[in-house]
Amino acid sequence: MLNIEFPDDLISLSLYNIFSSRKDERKFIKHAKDWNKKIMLHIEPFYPVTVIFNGSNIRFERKEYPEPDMKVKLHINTMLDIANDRLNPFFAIEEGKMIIEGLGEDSEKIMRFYNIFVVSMQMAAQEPNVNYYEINKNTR
Amino acid sequence: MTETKDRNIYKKISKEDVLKKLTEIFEEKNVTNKSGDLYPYSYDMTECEPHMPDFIVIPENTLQLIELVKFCNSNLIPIVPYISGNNVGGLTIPENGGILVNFGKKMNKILHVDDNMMYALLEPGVTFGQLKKYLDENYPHLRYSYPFAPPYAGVVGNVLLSGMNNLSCKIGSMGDSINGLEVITADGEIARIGSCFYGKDEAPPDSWWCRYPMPDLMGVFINWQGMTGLVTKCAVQLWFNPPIKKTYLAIVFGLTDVAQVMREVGRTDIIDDISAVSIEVIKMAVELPIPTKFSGEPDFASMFSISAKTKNQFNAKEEILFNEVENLNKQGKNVILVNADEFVKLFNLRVRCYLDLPSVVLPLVEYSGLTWFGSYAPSHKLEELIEKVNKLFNKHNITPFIYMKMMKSGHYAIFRPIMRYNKFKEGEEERYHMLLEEITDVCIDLGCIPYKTPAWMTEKMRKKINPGWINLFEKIKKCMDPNNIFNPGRWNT
Amino acid sequence: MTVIKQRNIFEKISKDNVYSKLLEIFGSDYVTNKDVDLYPYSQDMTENKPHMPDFIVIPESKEQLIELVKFCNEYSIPIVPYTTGNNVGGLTIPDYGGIVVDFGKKMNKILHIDDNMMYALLEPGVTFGQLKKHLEENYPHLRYSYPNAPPYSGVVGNALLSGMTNLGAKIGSMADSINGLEVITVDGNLARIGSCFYGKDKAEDDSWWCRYPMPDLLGLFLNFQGMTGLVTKCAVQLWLKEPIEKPQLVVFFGLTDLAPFLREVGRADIVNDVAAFSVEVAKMEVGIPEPVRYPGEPHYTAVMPMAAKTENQMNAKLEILSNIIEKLNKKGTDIHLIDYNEFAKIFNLKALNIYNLPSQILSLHEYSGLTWFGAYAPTHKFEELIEKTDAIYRKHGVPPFNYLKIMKGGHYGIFRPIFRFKKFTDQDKIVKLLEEIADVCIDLGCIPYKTPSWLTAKLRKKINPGWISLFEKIKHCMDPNNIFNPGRWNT
Repeated sequence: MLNIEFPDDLISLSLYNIFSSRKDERKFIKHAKDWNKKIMLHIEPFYPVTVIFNGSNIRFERKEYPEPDMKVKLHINTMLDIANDRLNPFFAIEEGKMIIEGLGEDSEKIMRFYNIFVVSMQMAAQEPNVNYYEINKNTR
Repeated sequence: MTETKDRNIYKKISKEDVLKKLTEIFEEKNVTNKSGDLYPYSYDMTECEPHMPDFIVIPENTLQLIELVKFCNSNLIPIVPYISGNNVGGLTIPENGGILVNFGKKMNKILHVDDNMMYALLEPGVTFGQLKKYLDENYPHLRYSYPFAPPYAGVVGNVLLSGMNNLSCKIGSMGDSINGLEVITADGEIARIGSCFYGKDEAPPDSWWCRYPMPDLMGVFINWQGMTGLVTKCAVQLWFNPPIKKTYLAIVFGLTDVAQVMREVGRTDIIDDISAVSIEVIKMAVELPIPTKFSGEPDFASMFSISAKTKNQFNAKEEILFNEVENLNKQGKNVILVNADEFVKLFNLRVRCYLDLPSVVLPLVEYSGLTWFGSYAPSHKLEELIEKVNKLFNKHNITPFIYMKMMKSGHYAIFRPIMRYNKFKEGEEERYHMLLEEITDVCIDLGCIPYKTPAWMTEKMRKKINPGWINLFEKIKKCMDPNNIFNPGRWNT
Repeated sequence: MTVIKQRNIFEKISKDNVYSKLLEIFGSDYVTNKDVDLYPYSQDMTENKPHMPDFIVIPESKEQLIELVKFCNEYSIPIVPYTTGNNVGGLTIPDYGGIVVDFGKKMNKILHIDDNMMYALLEPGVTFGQLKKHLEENYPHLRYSYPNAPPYSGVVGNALLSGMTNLGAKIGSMADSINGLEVITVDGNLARIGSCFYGKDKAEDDSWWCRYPMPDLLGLFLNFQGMTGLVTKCAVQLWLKEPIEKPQLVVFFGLTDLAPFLREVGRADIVNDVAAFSVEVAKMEVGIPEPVRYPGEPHYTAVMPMAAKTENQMNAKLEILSNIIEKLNKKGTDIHLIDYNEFAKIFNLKALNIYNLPSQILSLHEYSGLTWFGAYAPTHKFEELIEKTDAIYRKHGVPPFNYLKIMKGGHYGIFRPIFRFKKFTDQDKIVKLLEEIADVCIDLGCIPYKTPSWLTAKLRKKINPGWISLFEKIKHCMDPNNIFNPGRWNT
């Protein structure tokens, strides 16, 4: 099981929401646990947030960490487009709508990033339920 | 236990005799004077002073109420109407004791829905949830318009008190949505007001279609907080339910910029509803008890609802909205428009409680106390109002919760700072009341007019209102209720 | 010369003393008791019985009016407010003599236009033409909404009497457009009602933005025909002018085809207004004095102002409109849509009079007499109303002249049979026709507005006694000596 620290700023709260629904999921745990990376996510026009993966813990810091392992920058509407399958994330990178630094040739990094961030967003967006009270109580 | 403020009613007639008469009118099972029963009606979620009623009655029909009114009028016994007790203004707290009439339990039928002229004829106890369900099941092509209130709050109370609902950018105050009333006046007469006025004894159900054009007697019951008579039926306008609906969230950076955004978007005349909340309110929805706004976070979130009959019409409206937002951004504002449904799925589904009205607004019901300064506001003063009220919240170390609306395509606005608190925690009520009073002073000074006003607020207003109006108001009150039996104490009567 | 119905006012105080007092209040230039001055105010274009006033006064300020009201209340002298005398209902005919207060001459200023909250603050004498000109010159992006009435008729009277205008399908009755009033009540009290109520002596110009949310005292002056006090200021809502206008003409070949069209188009929420007329009216408009509808000609036509912000929005509205007509025609109606401007160019430019409001609708003005049964109507009864009134017109040998509207998104309708006549020859015939039509319409649930007393006498027989009690209680409370326009609603 993963521990996700409950944050108090808007962007981190969104990420918390997206990750929470999967925190007991084997696949998600496999990618997130022991990744031990700092991923900076800047969703424009908001502020940058750094997501810190440390063992079984995930926490958020409302700042640009010095020398993060990866920097991702995209507009909120691009994020919604990717989440709702209107835009392929790789095309987004190609078209300059999503800018990633630090990806390099590390295929494991690419895979983990994709599975943790992109897939989780897409799953949250595609979830048909819109009633908060029907969500798993643990994640409320 | 609260004390019953005596009006010396029971010198004229004994409490036992009153109980006897009430039992005769309503039957034993619908009358109570037991403290345990009376207690929940003696207070509400606000900080208004509690006061015990002497009796609760549950009426089933107008004939019972006519008898009650005649009896109370001859014995000077106060009558306080009650539906579900969810008004945020202490309006059903029986400040002078007397008889509380609970319409919510039995006089709660949807009497008629007229598909052609689009209205619903209701008894006073009908709730929003009840009406919505009924329409969804039987008239899905018709819709009503719902406030930021739970499904168990009453429809008729909301219209009689000029509520503001989720079609209000299109249609304005709910006071303009009333087609007709049936009322009982102090002399026990029953009057039908509006187009339903034809017919000596009864009006056909298809005759409740308009408030005008006869002399507007309806004004004598709107916003009077039950001070002029008992309403026993009310017809409210419904609207066609368009098949295509979408809500946008506009995220606004810049503390007071949201005011301009609301004004400009309101004037486009294509939006059904414009509401805005301070960003802390979004955070409150996700259970952050005392959320703070961090630098870099937006200041306000505004919701725009659009609807249309056809895809082309929808696209045309969307185009106008996008153009308007683009214009605003060109003028230096910082507004991001996102699809509300999509955003909420990613952010947190709990925020849907602000969108899917009527709803249990989570950050409000999770606390035992709720109060607000709800007012109709001049829209050019919104910037000043936001700034000053924000400062006051911060001064008192209380999280700002500002709620605003734009009404009737920009003709006026709603400004409503809200406070949720622990009612039973030592010192909390006083603390919040102090903030509320300061906010009241600032807002009234800037021209805001509070609705659903508790008596301490009307006292402040009386100092500002022109004496001609006060004279006229008191003249009419005296004319309609010479013995001051109808909800005495409201507006300091 | 008409006979003055005496209330024995001048037993309590002599006419000369009244005259002296009026001179004192208003100045000699603004008071008259000369027959030749009084005569035009004793009658109007309708069939209502004329009656001479005793005096005419022309006020300049509310202070003068406060003095007047106090004086008249003390001596039980009737006061009748008058703006331009263009109401079709005899409402300014002083049934009991007394003093006619002509607001139209001097208390006719546009006091303030608020661009942001979109309203106009007016004195009672402001006319539609005056307001339109002022807006076009100074606030071209704002508009008011205009009735089928001439430019020289009064804005405030129309609003206070629930008029219906060329934004009717969008905004409904004009009574819903009033933001605030300043009134003088019988004790000489000056009251400001609405959001302008803050401020002991004065209200800020920018404070007249809403009728609510205080106790709705405004209702006491709405539709009361001046029976409860004198209105000295009124704030009315304005709207943004939409840049794209494409008015449409609709023609109906079946007698009752108009009815379902009005209902469907109303609910669609796409037009600003639907003003429908029997086709004889279109012919009257181009100068045919006794028009007849020939077989093959449509029964009704409707003028529909349509406006939008963008071309796309207009096209979307037109698409919805076409779909409605197609759907109805499939069910058996025979309805057709024509661009109004193009039609007028070919048919006759006079037809534009009905669209470019406010205007003198020539077919109404060419005759000395005009009256109507103007009513708010239940829309499911339109078919029956059209059919039954049609039969009555034919019976009396008069061309049908019906006017219908759909209001506030389809929530209610207007049904208005209109009669123009030669006042000094045909009046009796028209009165008979009018009464018959009134009976039929009231029976079907119509509620007349701007009601003359003979009509309210009929209504009183039908209205529930509780309402009548309440109405009389309020009237008595507001005007115990019955000085304000006595006789209206048979008071």
